[in-house]
Amino acid sequence: MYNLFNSNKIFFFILFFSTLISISSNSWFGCWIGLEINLLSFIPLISNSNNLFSTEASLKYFLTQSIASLNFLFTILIKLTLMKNFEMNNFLTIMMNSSMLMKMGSVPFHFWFPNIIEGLSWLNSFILMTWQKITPLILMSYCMNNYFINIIIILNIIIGAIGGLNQTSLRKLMAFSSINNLGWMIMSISISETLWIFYFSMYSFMISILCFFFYILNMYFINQLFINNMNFLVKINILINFLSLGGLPPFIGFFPKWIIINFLINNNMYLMTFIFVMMSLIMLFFYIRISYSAIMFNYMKNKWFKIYIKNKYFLFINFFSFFSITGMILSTLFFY
Amino acid sequence: MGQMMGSYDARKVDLYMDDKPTFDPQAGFNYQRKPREMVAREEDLVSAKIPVKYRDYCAHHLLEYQSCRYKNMPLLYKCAHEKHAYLICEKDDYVIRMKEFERERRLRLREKRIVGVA
Amino acid sequence: MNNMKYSICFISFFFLFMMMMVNFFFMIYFIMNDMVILMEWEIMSFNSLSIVMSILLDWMSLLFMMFVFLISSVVIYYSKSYMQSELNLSRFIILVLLFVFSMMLLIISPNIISILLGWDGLGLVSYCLVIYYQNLKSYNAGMLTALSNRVGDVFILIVISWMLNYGSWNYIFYLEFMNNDWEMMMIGSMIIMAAMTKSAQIPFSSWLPAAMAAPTPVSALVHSSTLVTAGVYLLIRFNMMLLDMFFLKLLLLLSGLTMFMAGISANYEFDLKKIIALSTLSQLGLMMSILSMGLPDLAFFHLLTHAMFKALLFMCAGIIIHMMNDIQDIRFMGGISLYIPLTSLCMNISNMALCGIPFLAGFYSKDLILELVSFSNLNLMIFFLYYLSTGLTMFYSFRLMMYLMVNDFNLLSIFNLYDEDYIMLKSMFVLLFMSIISGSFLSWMIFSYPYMIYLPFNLKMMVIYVSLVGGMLGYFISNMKIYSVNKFLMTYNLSNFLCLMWFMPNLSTYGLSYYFLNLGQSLLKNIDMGWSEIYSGFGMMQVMKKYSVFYNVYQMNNFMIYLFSFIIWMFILFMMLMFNN
Repeated sequence: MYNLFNSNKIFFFILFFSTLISISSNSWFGCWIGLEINLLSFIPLISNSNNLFSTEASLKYFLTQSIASLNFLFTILIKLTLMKNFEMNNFLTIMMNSSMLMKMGSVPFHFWFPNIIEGLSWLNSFILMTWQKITPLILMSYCMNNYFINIIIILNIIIGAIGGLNQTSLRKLMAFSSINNLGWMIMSISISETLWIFYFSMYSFMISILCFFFYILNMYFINQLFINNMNFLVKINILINFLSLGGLPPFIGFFPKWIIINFLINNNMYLMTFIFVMMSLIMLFFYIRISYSAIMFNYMKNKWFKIYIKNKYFLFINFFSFFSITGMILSTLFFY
Repeated sequence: MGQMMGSYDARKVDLYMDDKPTFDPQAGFNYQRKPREMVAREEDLVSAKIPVKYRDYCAHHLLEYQSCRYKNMPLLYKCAHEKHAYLICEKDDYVIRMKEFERERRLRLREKRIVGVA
Repeated sequence: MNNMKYSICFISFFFLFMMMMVNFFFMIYFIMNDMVILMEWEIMSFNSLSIVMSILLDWMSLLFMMFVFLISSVVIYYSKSYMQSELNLSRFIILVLLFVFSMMLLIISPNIISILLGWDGLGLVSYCLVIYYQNLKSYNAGMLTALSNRVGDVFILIVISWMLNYGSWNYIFYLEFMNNDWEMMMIGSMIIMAAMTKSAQIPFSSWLPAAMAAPTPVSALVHSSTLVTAGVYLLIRFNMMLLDMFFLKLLLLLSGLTMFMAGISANYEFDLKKIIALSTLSQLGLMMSILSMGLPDLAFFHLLTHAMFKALLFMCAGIIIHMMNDIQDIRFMGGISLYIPLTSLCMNISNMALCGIPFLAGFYSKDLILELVSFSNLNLMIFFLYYLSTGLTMFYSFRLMMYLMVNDFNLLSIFNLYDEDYIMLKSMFVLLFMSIISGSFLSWMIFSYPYMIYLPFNLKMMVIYVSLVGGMLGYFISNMKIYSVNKFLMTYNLSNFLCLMWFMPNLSTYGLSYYFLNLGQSLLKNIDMGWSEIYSGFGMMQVMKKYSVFYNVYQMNNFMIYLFSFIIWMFILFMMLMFNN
């Protein structure tokens, strides 16, 4: 992995900067440029191994993303010529939003997302699930059509919950959970950007723990969670992180969802609150299903050597899981 | 229950049990009616500690009865005459009150008829 | 212990009889001089609350105490012979003495706390007495008695806490002055409820026939004159406050219905003690209803005279039961007047006193009550309840007399009915004397201000008409021969309703536990494990799984279709853009 990382360093660097270019430009063209550089730098990151899956994944990724950014460019040019760069019409807004949604992997243009993520390694999928969402979201927040976006949010949440029920591959599971959380994130960015930053940082924190965990243990499917003989504390780790991702209260994943629900209820958007909460429950259901089976089947406890963890990266995971548990309480020390 | 049987039309003239008579006491009579007066004295009634609701026009018989009771206790069968006198007086008083009520009612009905014609 | 010259029965009888004489003299003195003595001992006083122990002696409490002492002394002397085969007779007598002591505490107390002591003591000791014969039926009866009485205790406790508003618990001082307070209304309603449980009015009347599982002297003392009249006595004391409350009208209705129901149910009963218990219940309804008409003196009067002849009735029933080898069913009895003349003398006189035959004890109170009821404002239903219940009283009394006294003895062919138990007879004669005399004696003594009654002729004779009709019905219904056709099944539901005391025993026992448990089980089966599983638990999961499977079909699809659909969407938007510009 080390040699891979050395050769990928420059692409990480360009990926990082492409987002910054896209966000901080004062012209729509600059945004488009950033998007293209993003795409170009991500492709080598993905296609850097020798099996067919990742090649196919990179090809599909290239196709979808380029079509989306083409449409974005088209929208910008129409705006430039027809509107003389003054205003964003309703339909133009929707056109721009749709292309951004396709970039992010949001419903109704999300069908590539679980397909592609099946072919990526865990680190790449982590980048796809977290970093690649920043640019489209921020670009979308520059002009949003609220009616359209509301429908998109609701669809995101529903599809993320229902689609994830029937999966056995861990990467697809994380993809659907990412689609679900994308709905929350679009909602939060339509509330305020600070809130979105907060939600995004929490979400990427949780995802990072899980992705790292699965990367360490080299797990790609659900049955790998309970077939191997890990000891009990490792499985507790799975439980904690999954429950935190699902938004169960004492863990840190509850905090951002709580704030968004608070905002929704204060603004009398009760139907959306209802849908959010119900689908959250369904997501939580299949997280609990996974972690329940992980703990209950094959419960192994050695008598002679109780804590048997050979991997030194578990230190990181434990450290971050500590924040997962006590994050909410510790944050009151910061924010009060 | 007996006294309610004939009073089905007492409400037609808006007359209630405790109302005082509003017409002239002498109207319609061809002889001089004398008003009722108390026979027992106020200080007698107070000193005998008779409750207020029993201090009506028959109270002198009640005082006789009470003194007879005190004298003959516990052989109270000896007081039967005084008790009978008191109860007769009470019955007469009841009849008088009933007649006054009926007179009042009929006078009001008559007034309604007269006013209705005129 | 048994061959002591002075047994505990005799000592306690003597003591109680002396107390009765003392009370009698004091009562006459107090009525003569119109005296009231209130003795107070202040135990402690907090900021605004004072706890005092007080004793109130006025003519009402002295008179009631005299009667209670009389009946209890006579009953203890009676039980010397009735319970002579009992091994632990001392225990029995001590329980009875405890009962009498609790009753004293209730009678002489002008504050709620000592009433509570007496009330709770009455409930508890009557429980111990009802379960005295330790078999299953007595246990069940005792449980029903104790728990029904306990409900009344709860009401009195609530009254205690409401009376904290007034600074002390001497209700005597607050009755007339605080009449219009809202707290007084609460207190009044709670007191009425407590009295209804103790005196077995309609919602709570199932314990009185069940408590007949007690020994007969206990029934004579407790269930005829003292325990069940404690509620009436409490309401008499509180009557100043309750006079214009709505709850008093409610009490009128319920007690009228109790009167009526008990009268009807007593006609269907064949157990001797249960008939007498139901007649007690009917007379209690009469006492409560005249109390709620605003005439507490009459209620008190009827309470006292009723105590006399009801205790006598129970004692005669005790002798009869002893003679019949502990069988209480009246179908086995008959013609006992030929064999036990003295007992049947007592029985007949007390029965006739109960009916209100002129110039016995019951006549003075019952007739006065009915005439005053006719003289006041009533509606037709209450009027009918009163008079029909009077007729029903006559009905079941005549029926009882026909079953007991007339025709042949039905138990065995060879029998010996033995009456010369002079201990029991002597105690019965005391009560017999009192049950003849006490009506007139009390009516002269109590009513310092006589009631004037002025009624039309037919209304005055109504009592006699109703009694005659009741008597005739009683005669006719007891002419059941072996070949008479029983048309009971034609009116099956109605007869069940009427004879099983309008299903109140069922409600008080099954209705509190079994029906609710049944309901809980059916709810569990049908809803918790049934419909709510389909609509929220298991069914929802099935629905979600189905949707997910359905979605997966769209997910696993051709890639080009997705891209193409995106292009079409963009094209549509572009076209709409062009058309709008």
